[in-house]
Amino acid sequence: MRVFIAADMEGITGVVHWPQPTTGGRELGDDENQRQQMTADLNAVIKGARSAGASEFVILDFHGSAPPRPNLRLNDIDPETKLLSGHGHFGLTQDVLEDGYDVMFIVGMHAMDGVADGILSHNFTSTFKEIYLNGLRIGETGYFALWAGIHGIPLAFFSGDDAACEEAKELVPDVVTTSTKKGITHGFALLYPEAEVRADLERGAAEAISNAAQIKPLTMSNPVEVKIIMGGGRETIKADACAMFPWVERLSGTSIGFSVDTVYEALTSMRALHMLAESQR
Amino acid sequence: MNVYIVIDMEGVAGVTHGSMIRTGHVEWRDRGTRLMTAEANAAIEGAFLGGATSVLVKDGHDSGQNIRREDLDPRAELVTGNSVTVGLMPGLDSTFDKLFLMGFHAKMGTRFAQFDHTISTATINNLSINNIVVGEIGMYGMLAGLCGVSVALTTGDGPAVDESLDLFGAHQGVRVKQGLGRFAVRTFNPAQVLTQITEGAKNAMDSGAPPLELSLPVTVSIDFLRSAEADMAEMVPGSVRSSARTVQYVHEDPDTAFQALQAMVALAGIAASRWASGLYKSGDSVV
Repeated sequence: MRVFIAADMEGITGVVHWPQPTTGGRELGDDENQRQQMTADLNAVIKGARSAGASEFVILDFHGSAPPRPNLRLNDIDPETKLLSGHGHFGLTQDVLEDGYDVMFIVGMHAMDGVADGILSHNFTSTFKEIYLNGLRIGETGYFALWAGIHGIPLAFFSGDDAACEEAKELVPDVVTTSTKKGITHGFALLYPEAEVRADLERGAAEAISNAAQIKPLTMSNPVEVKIIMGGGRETIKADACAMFPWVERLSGTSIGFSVDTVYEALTSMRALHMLAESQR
Repeated sequence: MNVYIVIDMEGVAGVTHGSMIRTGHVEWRDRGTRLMTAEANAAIEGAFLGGATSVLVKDGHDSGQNIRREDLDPRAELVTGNSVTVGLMPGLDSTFDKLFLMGFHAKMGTRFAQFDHTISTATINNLSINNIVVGEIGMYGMLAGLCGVSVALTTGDGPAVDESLDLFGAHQGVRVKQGLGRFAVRTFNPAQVLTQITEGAKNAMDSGAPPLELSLPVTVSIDFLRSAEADMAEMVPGSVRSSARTVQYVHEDPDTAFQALQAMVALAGIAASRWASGLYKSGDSVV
């Protein structure tokens, strides 16, 4: 069984505030610690999944606050695991899921933008405040689950804070989740004991592999209507830039919409629009 | 008669060094912007002498902050801003009669041309529209043609003027200098060319090339400098990656095709800026 693991950093054990998963952490001398924690979380997940019969692991190390990637410590990650790493587009433009996987795992994820008790909640950055696909509001969890769904791959395992786990459950009711902490505010959390979390990650990943056949991939009917509300300040210029895409409709000063034939196009367009919006200063 | 002027900076007489076109540089502030504004004024004067009733000037260089507003002929209006958000020729429509292309440079890869490039030296190797290799002159002139607007005056470096005459047909051309190489130029005296520009602009009011008609669908093909730029441009839905460095976009509606061109160039520019800076400037700030 081949496992694709999308690995982020905000939902990793011990991460509670922005300096940790960003360049700020490097400045505080805390960067190395977060990278170790991330590596340890992933090793626990891989160990558990392997014990239940998973044979091959590929990690997409997509957290991108402090280039250069990878964030993971290559010396310490499970030696048989392969790593997808680099800047740009999450491997979506050249669809790396086409290689064929049986399940997707998401490890270290955060909640979507605007969730009060979601630790470091956001959507890629703060530029897209709300994202709707056919009326379904999604953040990064929805993005990855839908991408996997295009290929018939279920989201089988998920880790992050309580709010992120709840978001995953709403999208994929049978996903196995492990919470690493309970968010109290955006940057303040009740951290669960590290050793317990690692044991939960291992147990959860094993359970996910055992249950995989029963978990339904997240899919969506075509065509796909996308609506995006800008955030993070200077919203009108971000919407201006997105409106440069010929099929994009300006819905209001701060929001845009477009309709595409497939989920894949919706996700690729959204990512392209995000980069274009972010490039406007 | 309504006149639309797009004025760039590289092809202005007396602009002899890159510092003079670099926003913020003292040479830009004290010399480049003055020379450019004087050429714009010379053309505005000619247009009104020839019967123009209105003139709209688009400041087409960099972020469009080059024309000295307080020194611009008060009969003209000015339009400026980031073309990624307002389009290449804001305000242009079929109520306009004449297009003046001023201060232009030749397309990327032209020999004996000063500052030859197409949109961005750091991003684009070659641009073609309907299989015609074009530079910025071609891009603007073709867009104007869609509104039935005729290219009536081109000023700039000698090869830039030739490029415009070859593409659009006979019209008024004022060669204000002659490139000897990318960074070498033989220039006429900036004050001397103003009379010629006024004369050319005046004559342009009752002459000009017929508006260029584009056959449909419109095919835009961009050959980028590196595959990294094409990786980005390819994210425009409907685009086709025709080779490692080339992305193509075909559409029945020409405005859509030109918008896609701008979107592809803007996205590719993000990759190009990564190369230039060695760091991510955008699109990767948190995730």
